[in-house]
Amino acid sequence: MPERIIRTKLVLGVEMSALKDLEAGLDSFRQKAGLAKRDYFHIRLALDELVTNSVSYGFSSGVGSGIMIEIALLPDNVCEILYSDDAPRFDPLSHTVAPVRSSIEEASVGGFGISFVKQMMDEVSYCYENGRNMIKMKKNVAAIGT
Amino acid sequence: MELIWSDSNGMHVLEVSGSLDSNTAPEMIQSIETCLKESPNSLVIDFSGVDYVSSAGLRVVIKTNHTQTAAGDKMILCGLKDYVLEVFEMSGLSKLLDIRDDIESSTS
Repeated sequence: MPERIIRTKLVLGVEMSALKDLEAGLDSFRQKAGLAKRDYFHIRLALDELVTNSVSYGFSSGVGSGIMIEIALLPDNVCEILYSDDAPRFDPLSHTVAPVRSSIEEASVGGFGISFVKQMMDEVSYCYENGRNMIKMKKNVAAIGT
Repeated sequence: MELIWSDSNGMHVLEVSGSLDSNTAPEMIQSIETCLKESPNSLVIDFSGVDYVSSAGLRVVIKTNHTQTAAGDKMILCGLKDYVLEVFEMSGLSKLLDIRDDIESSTS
């Protein structure tokens, strides 16, 4: 268990290349915080899907300048994440696709992303504040070194 | 991401390595579509070198499966690491796709 709060802040652009910056920034945080590989993978997947959503839909109208992600690993092994962008107001959590259960032919080629965010995180909520779409998330992570 | 094509026992084999996300998925689907258009055949996608996949990767697999089904050919996935397989399981796709342990069991 970390004895202090470990924080990082990532500022990403409006192009899909933001995913490379996300990967690099998260990898640095993983090493600093000692996150287990599984937790790192889950956090990366959730943030990847949100970034992809912002870039593909939020910024597609030409409005908005970027994404900000603040991550804090607290001493009780809870990871708090604040994701925000200044794209037009939109709640992505209200649009999800259920897992495919019947046949592959019925599988849509889109819509899994936000469903993954909800599955990867223990708490997820959306609000719109000060001109920014904000998604607050919490994830209980494994104790460091496990 | 690196894509290496070969043939084994009369099937196309695509070895993928690296991350499969929204940045790299377009390159992969383009490579698959080009190959299958030139030479329609059953396809094995070897994921053993893939260390990360997002929903963009699932879209590549779903689209490829649709192409293969329409052509009457098979698509087999193999070598999925735990974290990659978990993404397929969350989506529900793991129960519907032909997923095997390794390349040997896919092409035999």
